[in-house]
Amino acid sequence: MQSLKKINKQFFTRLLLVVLFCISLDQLTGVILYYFLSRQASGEFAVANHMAYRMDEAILVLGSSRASHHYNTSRIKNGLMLSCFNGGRDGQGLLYSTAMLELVLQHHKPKVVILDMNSDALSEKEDERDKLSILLPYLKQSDVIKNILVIKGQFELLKSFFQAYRYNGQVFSIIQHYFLPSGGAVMGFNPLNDKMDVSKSLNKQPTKPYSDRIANDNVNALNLFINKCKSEKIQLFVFISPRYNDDTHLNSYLKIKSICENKHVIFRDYTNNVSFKNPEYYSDRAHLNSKGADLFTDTVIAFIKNNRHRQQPYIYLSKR
Amino acid sequence: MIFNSFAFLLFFPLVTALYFLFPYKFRWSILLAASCYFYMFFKAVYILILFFTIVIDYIAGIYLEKVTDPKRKKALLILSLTANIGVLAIFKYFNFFNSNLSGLLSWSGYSNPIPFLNILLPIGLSFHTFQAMSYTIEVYRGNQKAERHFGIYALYVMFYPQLVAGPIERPQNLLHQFHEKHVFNALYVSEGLKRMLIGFFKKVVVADRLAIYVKAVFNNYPEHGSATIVLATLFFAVQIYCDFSGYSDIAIGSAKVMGFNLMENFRRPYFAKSISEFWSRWHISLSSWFKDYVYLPLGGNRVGKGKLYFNLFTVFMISGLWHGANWTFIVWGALHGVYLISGMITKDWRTRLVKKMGLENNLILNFLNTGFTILLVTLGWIFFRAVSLTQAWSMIKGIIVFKPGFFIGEPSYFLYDVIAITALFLYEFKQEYGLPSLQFLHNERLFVRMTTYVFLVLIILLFGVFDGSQFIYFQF
Repeated sequence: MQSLKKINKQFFTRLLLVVLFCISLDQLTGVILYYFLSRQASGEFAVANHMAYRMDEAILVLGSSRASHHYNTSRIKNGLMLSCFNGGRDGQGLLYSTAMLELVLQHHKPKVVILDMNSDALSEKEDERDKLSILLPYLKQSDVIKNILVIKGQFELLKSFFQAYRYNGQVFSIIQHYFLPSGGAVMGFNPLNDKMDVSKSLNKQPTKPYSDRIANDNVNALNLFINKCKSEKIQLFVFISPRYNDDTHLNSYLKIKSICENKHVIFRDYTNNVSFKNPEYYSDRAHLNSKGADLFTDTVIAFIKNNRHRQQPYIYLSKR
Repeated sequence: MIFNSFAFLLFFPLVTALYFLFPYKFRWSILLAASCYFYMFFKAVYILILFFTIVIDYIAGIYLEKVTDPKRKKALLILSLTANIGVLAIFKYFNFFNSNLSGLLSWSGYSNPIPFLNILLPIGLSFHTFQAMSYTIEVYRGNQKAERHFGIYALYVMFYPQLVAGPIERPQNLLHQFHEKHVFNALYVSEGLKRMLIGFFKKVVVADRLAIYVKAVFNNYPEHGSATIVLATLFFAVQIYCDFSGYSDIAIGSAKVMGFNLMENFRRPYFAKSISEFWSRWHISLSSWFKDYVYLPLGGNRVGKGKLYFNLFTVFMISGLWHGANWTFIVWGALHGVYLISGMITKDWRTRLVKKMGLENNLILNFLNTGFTILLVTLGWIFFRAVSLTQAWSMIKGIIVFKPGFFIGEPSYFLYDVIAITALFLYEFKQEYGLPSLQFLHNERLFVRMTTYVFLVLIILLFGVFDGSQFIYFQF
């Protein structure tokens, strides 16, 4: 019995040592990875870092991969005589855009914000919440980030106590973009240079039907995004950029339209714009290539020029 | 509640602490309350189904012991088994058989008047039903005394570590442990925690990482080339192993911490040199359940060859159906039945050939046998993972009829996959052949052991997938 007590005591001492060792190594890992992350020379964290710490451009583009590939920042700069940064990120939605706007507003107020949306931006998506992990390294920056991360799960903030967890799944990417930076993106704009194979794209059917149910978190995020721009007196343009084939999620689309209408936000939908129905302009069904992106950017520049200081809503609906 | 959730990380130490802090006579109630809470995390109302079968089997057990008339005894057993299988039939198989009936009737020009049930499958139903059935069968056979303490019997069915995905325990192994007084034993706790750590690594670092690639390919298989489909299938073979054996490791480990010994469920199945050996290493608790309660009662090995093959095939078909109400699972089970029967038919011929060539115990032959077994098992996994027979067949066709193209997905994720599989292989290799040079968690030097624990935790935090994905076997 005595020896069992001794073994148990030894066990708790060692357990305590392991826990302390774990906490120390975890903190050290956090410091090292933050060092690499905050000095990213390329990649998506470099774009996010620019918005979080260094942005001083007059125009900010936000959205998903379609924003990142469709808005040519140097053309916008030349066309509108205003510097521009493209903060679009692959696979991300409104929650990410709202968080990023908040990070920018911590230190800089852009004159114009372009929010590129998909017609399904307000729909429920299986993995949208999981993708918010990408915001974990910026947790300290703002309470809005914390509130958005809570959407991911009730224990998310507790989990983020572990420094290593904040960089979960990103280690190789962070190290790669620190030691082996790759060029390509100009002020966040990431053009696609290939051309779509029309025969493949026409036959392609989605293997899984997806939801058109509205997610309240996304509606709240859109409202928050718009309110933030209004309170900061930033002119907001909401665009749905072109697609080769119509992929409209009706409920989500109508909701976006009605929110923009109610809040007097300039909204324009280019999904079915005939100028962009040429397959030569596409990399795949959802993304313009660099040729298409240049044409689309010129169209957007012309539109913004005409509506730059207009206060009344201008709603152009191409579908219904 | 799922093991790979943050809620479980709070639940487990709390329940364990309460278990040891409370006096012995209250411990069963702590564990039972914790198990109910664990189960109700999924869908609270389904605990009533469990309660129904627990009451039936508890009463049946007592009467099975009391009644001496064999006919009445048999009737009682049938009543208890019918209640258990009835629950399975309603919740798991009703819609499947009804949709097949609809297909058959519509083919004959009729319509099916039987409506479909709008119900969700209770999580882990097949596991606890089988565990409950093993109790009544063993009491009927006289191998187990009927449990008089209702709470302890309920705990036997509901013990949270193995409630939703096994190992499917036998009453002779588990039930008496609830009557024993477990004192806090640091050696058990340490062993249990190590086992849990390995389980978490297998689940969140290996299985859930591989799942990203597997899902991308299986959900969009017509777009992918042959090499991609082969790789995704191989990845799925590793994914399902790590998903399920990871669950078993966490279950066995968490029970061990409290002083309970659960049966082993896996013994490195991908090192098996034949399909029959594979089944002695894969999901051992289910294989032995089918052997003890279906195969042996059908006659076992003491029947003619034709009957033996028929029995084997039947058992594997039922095993396939146990996994899910879908033709893909039935074909998967049948395929394994065919493998096993073919192996038996050709055994003498193969043994003679190996002898003639002087290749007995040859390393290369063993390696080839293992490779061939993996190939056959992996082919079966296509049916297991596919949502329909059409998909499974299209994917097999996609492998046979060569289509160029190789999908990597996110390169850094692909790199994680390769590293995770390598780490797993080294661990399994060490376990299989007991290599002391690869001992880390059980190294003699304290520093090596501690460093290994800490690095494993760090690797799980950095590379694990924490999207709350469920264990594949929960659906069964």
